This record gives sequence, structure tokens and C-alpha cells, in this order.
Amino acid sequence: MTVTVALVLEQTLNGLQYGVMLFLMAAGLTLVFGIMNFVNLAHGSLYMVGAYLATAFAAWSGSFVLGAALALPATLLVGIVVEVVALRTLYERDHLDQVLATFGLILFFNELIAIIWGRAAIYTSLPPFLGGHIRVLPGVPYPAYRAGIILVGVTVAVLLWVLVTRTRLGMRIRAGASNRTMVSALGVNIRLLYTLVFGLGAALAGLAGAMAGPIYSVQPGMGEAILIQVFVVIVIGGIGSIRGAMVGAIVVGMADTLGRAFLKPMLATVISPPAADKAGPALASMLIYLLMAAVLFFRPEGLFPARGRS
Amino acid sequence: MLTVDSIETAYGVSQVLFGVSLAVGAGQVVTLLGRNGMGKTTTVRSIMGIARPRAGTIQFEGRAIHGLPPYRVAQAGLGLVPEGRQVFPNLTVRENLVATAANRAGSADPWRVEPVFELFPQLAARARSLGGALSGGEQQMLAIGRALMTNPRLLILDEATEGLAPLVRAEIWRCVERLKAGGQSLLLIDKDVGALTRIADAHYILEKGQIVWSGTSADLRARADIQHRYLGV
Amino acid sequence: MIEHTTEVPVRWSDVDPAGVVFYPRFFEWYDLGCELLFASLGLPWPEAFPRYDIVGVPIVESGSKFVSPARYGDVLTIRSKVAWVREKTFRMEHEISVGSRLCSTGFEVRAWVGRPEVARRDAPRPADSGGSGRAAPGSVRPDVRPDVPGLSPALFARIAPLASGRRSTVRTITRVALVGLLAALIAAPAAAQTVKIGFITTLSGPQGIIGEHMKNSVELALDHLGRKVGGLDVEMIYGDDQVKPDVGKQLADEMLKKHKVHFVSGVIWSNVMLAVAPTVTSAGTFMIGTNAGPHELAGKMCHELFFTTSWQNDQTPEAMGKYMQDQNITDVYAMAPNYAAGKDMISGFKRYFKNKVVAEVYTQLGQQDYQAEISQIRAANPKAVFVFYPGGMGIQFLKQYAQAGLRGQIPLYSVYTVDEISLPAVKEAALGQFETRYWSPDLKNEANQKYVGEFRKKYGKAPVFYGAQSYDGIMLIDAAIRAVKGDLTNKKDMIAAMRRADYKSTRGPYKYNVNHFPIENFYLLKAVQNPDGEFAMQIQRTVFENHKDAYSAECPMKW
Repeated sequence: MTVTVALVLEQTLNGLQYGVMLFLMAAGLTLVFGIMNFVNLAHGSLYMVGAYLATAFAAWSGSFVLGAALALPATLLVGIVVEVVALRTLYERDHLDQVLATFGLILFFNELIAIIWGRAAIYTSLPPFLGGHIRVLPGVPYPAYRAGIILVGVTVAVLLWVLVTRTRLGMRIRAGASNRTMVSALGVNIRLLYTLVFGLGAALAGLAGAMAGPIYSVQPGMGEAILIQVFVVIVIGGIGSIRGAMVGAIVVGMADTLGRAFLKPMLATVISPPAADKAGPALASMLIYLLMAAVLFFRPEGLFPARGRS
Repeated sequence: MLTVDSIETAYGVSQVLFGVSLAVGAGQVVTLLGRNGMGKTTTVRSIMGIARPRAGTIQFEGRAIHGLPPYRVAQAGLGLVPEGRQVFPNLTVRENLVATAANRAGSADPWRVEPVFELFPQLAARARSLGGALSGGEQQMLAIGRALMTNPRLLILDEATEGLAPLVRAEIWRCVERLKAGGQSLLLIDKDVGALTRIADAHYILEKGQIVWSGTSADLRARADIQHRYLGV
Repeated sequence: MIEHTTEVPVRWSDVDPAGVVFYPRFFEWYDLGCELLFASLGLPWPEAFPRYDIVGVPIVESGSKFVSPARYGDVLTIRSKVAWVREKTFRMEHEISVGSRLCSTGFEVRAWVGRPEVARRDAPRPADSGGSGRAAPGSVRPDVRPDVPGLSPALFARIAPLASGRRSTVRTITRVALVGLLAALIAAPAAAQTVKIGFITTLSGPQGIIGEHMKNSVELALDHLGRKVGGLDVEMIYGDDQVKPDVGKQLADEMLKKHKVHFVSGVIWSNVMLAVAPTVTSAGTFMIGTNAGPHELAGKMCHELFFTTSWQNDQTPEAMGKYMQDQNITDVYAMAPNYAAGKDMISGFKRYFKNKVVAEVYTQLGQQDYQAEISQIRAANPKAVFVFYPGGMGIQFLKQYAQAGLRGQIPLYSVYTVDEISLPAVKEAALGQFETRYWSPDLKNEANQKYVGEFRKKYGKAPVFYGAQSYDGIMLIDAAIRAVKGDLTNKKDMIAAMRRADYKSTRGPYKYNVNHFPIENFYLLKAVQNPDGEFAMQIQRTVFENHKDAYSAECPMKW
């Protein structure tokens, strides 16, 4: 296979698109993990909830955009309810308890979704205006919907950056990450702050789910498949850091996509093609984990650790 | 203004406070003295709601505040400069001041960033530095500024001069005096008896979780035996 | 432990004027419990005694503790169990309770009494061989006279020598009868009238939908069989393998050891099957696969206890390879997930497709996003693409292939990718798609029409081949048990029966190859939209008739 500039460009866009998707998930997870010191395995469930709600709202309103727009506050609400009802009591417990409890939530959500919508994947179609292609360069068409995902993802990243670095809410969130008792002793309701952060993370996961609907299969358990990569992202990026989540997501998205696309032809230039046929896919699927291992070895705190965490 | 009445506080099974009572009047500067480990910081933590007294009452401006979570206590009008300063290391100086700022009492002339920078010109120069990058003295000033930004009616300073160079210490005391002159009520915990007797109106001495002596600055100056026995000076 | 529970109402004749049960009644109920326990094991005394050359099981010792009174109108629960069995005697233990309140506990030690050899000719028929002479109160079958020989002088006469153990003319029991009855009792769960079937499939996660179809089809088969398999009561034990071979193996172990199943069935995934099947067959239990067909089990690892109602993995892609070869399509780009079946599929495809395969791409099992691979396809610009993406992977691949705009440009051929599970989720994105398959809902045969029609009625959707195979699996087991008249120990004849595939399969009649894989037809199917708007698969033509898999020659089994 010939590797052309156009192909490399297209795959880079693919990697970027996958990266921003991971970023939307990782941002919420890393905030919750970093600020509340809380391991939330059920983050993938909120992604699934977002996908289902967006699909349901889209079917009801007849508009994909409206469906996604409604799914955002709805997932935020689901996140807040989960935090208030189930997770609040777990902050003081150790991580193993949190893992067990949130694993239970995964099962709960999967069954709940199966009861309401059934186990079969449900059909979601692309909005017609995003069904076509855009020309990135002459001769390089790119699906408009995926380009849209990149756009939305980058926009959200910028907004999040503004929120965290430029607003008082963001300052309090960061302050809470370093010293929650002090934030509380200065008159800030830290519980409410946690609930908001959790809701925000849920809404971001919901957004990722809503956008994933038309390209992936919307079915129970869809959240777990992506969750592992998301954990890899926040470990690479540095726990608790939005910037780390962004960089980690792009790194993982690029490494995974480019690895799948070009590792085999690259290997074939070094070792025999049949051996490359065998090793290529195996190595490509391990690539992000190898990357994570390398980061853990050389920079155990991640590439951009959140400042001020002890 | 603040009335603490026979509070008892324990961490798990080990009781630290055995019926501590004290009072701070409006515009007063009151100190809480005693050697290390006698319960001074626990008293502050109990007042702030960080530790929960198992008995006794705490009233602030006529409202019972014991049992409230820390943020409600703070919102009621208490400002804390904690032991060890505890500035937010990952926020800049300006962000440290702004993040939790409030003017809940609706003061006509509230503390804002500029007056704080006026009080501590050193901070103004480092407005964009991270809290964690400041020197100990600067962090102390920042912690005081941060508490002032919540416009408290009573400001509590817990070991505000501990571990600081004499020059910096003097700077802090100068600022405390300015606050007092401005009518700020203060509860001070410190070991610098000389400075305290100069500034404060009344003193309480804690020994093994109990108030063993209280009186005015004049009283305390006159009682070298008390100073020697309980404060080791 | 052999146990039986029955319920008996307390009648007026059982109680004293105060309404409290007379104590001797309890002994009658213990006797009833013993009798019914034997009957529940398929050994009703009037039939079993002559069969095992026994005269009766007289009581040689008995006792009871009375914990609380039973009163008129109470419904008593009698729980009886065999505590132990010895050469000459066995011990029964009973509990009588009202609801959760215990009334009494009691025991009986009974002797196996055989017919005296000398007296055999004129020995009394079992039906009148002593006993108390009257039906136990509350007996649900008053016509059967229970042997309560403890009171019978005639039996005492026979027991006396037995108890002293000195006479050979009065054999307490013949060795044959003893062994027979012991075996019958100890092996009771196996010889019982319940057949236990363990069914392993995937019930959770994204692939849980496949398991749901399989389970629903099994239940439908049981409905059609009147909730009996081979005339026996059936107990199904479902297990969720989570698409993990280790979990599958663990489930199989549990089914074999804890539930003592007679058959293990199901299994979607080839890697899971490779872990499960040897575990089951090496334990001497039947494995009836209803989906996965890894080549190892068709070849060197074939086993007389392993049957499948599906296919060998390679067969379906072989059909697609043949069709594409016949169409003289060149330059095909082949893709599959990187696991056992994925490789079987591509090698099967290449066995019949002799033109050029420009690339063979293996993706991660369970991968969600294929955009990178699709970009590679666009760059390679082949004449056609051949894929194997079962379950959720297929939905994602088809959607993304269509969204990338390749559907109109590069024709896509697939196996196990477009089916009745993925069609409702991808709709237009699969329209016109070709698949090969051994079965389709529109196959016109009686069994299939019944299956498809009733499945739609019961579950409100179209069935899928995973379900049809699972339905067939139960029918195959039914036929096997029927052939041995419920004797589940007779594995040899059950194997012989299954080899005849003598049941009404949803694919129509078929034969088994030596390796116990079906020899069956393969069809070309196309995804179409019915006039009512539903997307469905439709048979276009037959690609292979009576197609054998490629590995049967490696199977050492001969029959």
C-alpha cells in the first residue's frame, strides 16, 4: 500500500476526531478523580445515558441537534441525581469501596437501559446536513459529521479551559482539588461544588454519547468499551488536569489511529510481510498501553500533572 | 459577638477539650494562649465547624453555630487564617484572593483586591505568582488577605507569625494593629506574648483542654508567674 | 441427598376431641413420605419391588420427637429424605411442619427384604405382601397399599431370620436387587425424570442481544415441547460468559459439578467454545454447540460427545468466496476481528476465492471505530470489500462505511454482519448488502415457519440465525432423549440418535458429517426492505448444496 500525504492527513484528522471524543469523556473523569479523589467507573454509563437520551429526544423532536441539546441538561440532571443519591456517602471511603459501588452502578444502568429500550442496538441516523463530506484538501474528502465532532470537541475544550482558568467557579474547583477543608472554611459549600463538578462531568460524557450515537452502536454496555481508553488518557495526561486530559486524549487518539493505519506497512519494511501481518494488528492494539507504561515509567505523575496535588 | 460555652471536643476516643468557654466582644482583640498541644487549634477548629464539639454551645451574634458545617460558619461572618497558612498552591495570588471572596454582610466599604494589595504591597508585586511559589511570609499575608476578602466580622488568626523572620513578624503585627484600628474584631492564637499584650484587650490561657486563666493585658503583664507557668516565658 | 416433599391436610379422623392430632398418625405420615419419595424417583413400590426382586421394606426401628402439636385443618408439609443406605437396611428421616413451624421429626430404619429363594414360586405378589392393610390417612393415592410391614406377622417371619443372619434359605436380599436398587437410589438425580441443560451464552454487555435471542429461542422450543425435553421435565441453567473464555470455562465447571447437568449447550464465541467444549466432553457430558464452530473441534479435537447445530466457521465464508469467485470479482480487501473465528472466516473465504486479496486486515475484537481502517480502504481502492463483523461491531462498521461514502463506491460483501439483529439498527446503511448463510427466516419448511411465526408472535421481532440454531439444539436433545426413552445414562444410543439428526430442523432436513458438524446448504441472502417497511434478509439463490466442512478428514472419529 502506498502511503500518500492525503492519506496521512486523513488519518491525522481521524486521530484528532477520536482524540476529542476521548477528551470529552476524560475531562469529566479527571475532574471528578482529581478534585473529589473519587474513582467513578460508572462514567461510561453516563456516556451511554447521554447517547440514549439524545436518540430518544431526537426521535421525539425530529431534530438531531435539538435531541443532543436536550440530552446535555438531562444527563447533567442524571449525574446530579446519581451524585446526591448514591455517591456522596462514598467520598470518605477508600478507593476499593468506590470501585465496587460504581461498578454496581454500571450494572444498574445497563439493566435499566435494557429494561427501558431493550438490549438491541437502536437506530440513530445522521442529520442530513451533516451526512455529506467536506473537502479538506483537493481530493481529500472528510465526513462532515466527524469534522463537526472535532469542531464541537475543540470548542468545548476552549470553553472548559476558560471555565477552569478564568472564572471564580473554576478557581474554586482548582482550590477544592488542593485543599477542600480550607475552601469550606472560607464559606464555599464544597458538597454543592462537588455535585456541580460531577454534573458537569456527566454532561460532558453525555455530549460525547450524544455525538457517538450516529456513528457507533447505541446499546447497553456501550460505555465500558470506551472507558478503558479514557482511563489510559487520564493516566497519560496526569490525573486531575484538564490540560493533561486534552493532551492525553490527542496522544491516545493519534497513537491508536495512526498505529492501526500505518504500523503494519511500517513493520513490513523492517520484517517480512507475513510476520508484519501477524505482529502489526497485535502491536497496534497494544500501542496505547505501551505508551501508558512508558509514561508511567518516565513520568509517573503523567505528562501534565495537576499542580498542587499532594 | 462570639460566645463559646463549655465545649468538649474529641477526636475519636481521645478528648482534647474539656469545657472551654471564652467570649469575644465586637471590636475586641482577644487572644488564646497556651503551649503546644493544649487545644488551641482544636478550639479554633471547633468554632469553625471543622471539628464537632460533643457538648457545649457556640453562639455568634446571637445565633447558635455549633453543629453547622464549616461553610455555614464562614458564611455567618467568621474568617479563618489557619495554622500553617494553607494557601491554595495551584492558584495565583490574585486567584487565591478572588476565589472565595464575598461580602455577605453587605459592608459599604468591603475588602477587595486593591485594599489588600495596599495592606500588603509585597503581594501586589507577586499577583500572578502561584500560591505555592511564595515565601512563608508572603503566604501568611496571602492567607490573611484571603480571609479578609470574605469580609468577616470576626477574624481568627491561628499561629499567624509562627516560623517567620522577625522582620516579617513585625510586618504582620503592624497589619494586625491596622485591622484593630479599623474596628475589626480579632481572635488571635500566638506565642508572641510581648506583641499580644501590646495589641490585645483580653487573654485566655488554655492548659490541657481547659481555660486556666483569663484577664486583661494589664493583668497578664503583671503576672509573670502565670506567664512562666503556662506559657514558658 | 435424595429428598421428597409432600403436603397433607389434617382430617377429622386424625384428631382427638380437642382437635389435636393423635401421635400415631405421625408414623403413618412418615410411611407415606417414604412411599412417595420412592414414587418420585420413578420407583413406585408396586412396580419397583418386583423389578428389583424385593418383597418389601419393613420398618425395623422407628422413632419420633414431637415438637409442637398439629391441629385439625392444618396443612402439613412432610419432608422426607434418605439419610443413608447400607447393604441390608436404609434410614429415612422425616420432618413434619405447618408452614415454618416444626411439628415433629422422625426416622425409620427399613430393611431390604428379598424373596426367599425356596419360596419364590409361591411368594405373594408384592401388592399383597403384608403391610398394615390399610391406606395411610391422607394418602393421595389410596388405591396403592403401602408396605408398612412392621406389623405384619408374615413379614416378621421373614425378617427374623434376616435379623439373626444365619439362614441362607431366606436371603435378605438378592445381590442383584440390592445393587440395582442402590444404584437407582444413589444415581437418583441422574435417573430422575428431570433433564438438566446448561446453556452458556452472552447475556450482558453489547453482545447481550445475541444471548437474548438464543435464550428466547430455547424458551420457545421448550414451549413447543410442552416444557418437557424427551418427555422428561427439564431444568435450564443459563450462564453469561461475558465473551470471556475463562468465564465460560468456569460456568461449564459449575454446571457440571454443582448442577450436574446432562447437556451443556449454547456458546456464541469460538474462543469461548475452545475453552468450554473440552471441559464438558472430558467430563463425559454432552456438548451441543449452537453457534461457534472453530476448526479445531471439526478436525483433530472432534469428540463423540460434541455436536453442533450450526456450522463450521469456514463454511459460510467459503460460500461467499465461491459466490464472489463466480462473479469474477477481483482485488478484494478482507477484514475481520482478530480472534479465532476471524481467522477461520478469512481462511474459509480464501479457500474458494482464488482471485487476488489485496489486503487482510485484522482489527481488535470489540473495536468501535473503524474510520482509520475505512480511510485505508479508500486509499487502497479495491474492487470489493469482504468483512466478518458479528454483533455490535457489524452495526458500527456498516454505519461508518456508509457515512464515509464508500457504500456506493466499493461494494461490500459480508458474513455474520448483516442479520436480523443489526438490520433494525443500521436500516438503509445495509440495504442491498449480500451475505451467505445456511438459514434465513424466509426458508420455506414447516419447522421454520412455525419457529419464525411463533417467535415473532411471542417476542415481537424477527428471529436471527443464532436463535434458530439454539431452537434446533433443544430439538436435537429432545430427539436424543426420546430415542433412549428417557434413560439419560444411555449415552451410546443418544449419540447414535443425534447422528441421525432425526428431528424437524428449522433449516430443513440435514445430515451429520463424521465430526458431528452438519452437512447443509448455504444460500446467498440480500438485505431488502419489505413492502411493510421492515428490513429483512431474503434468499437469492443456493450457493452450496449439502456442503461439507474442510476439516472432517482430520477427525479420527469413525461411524
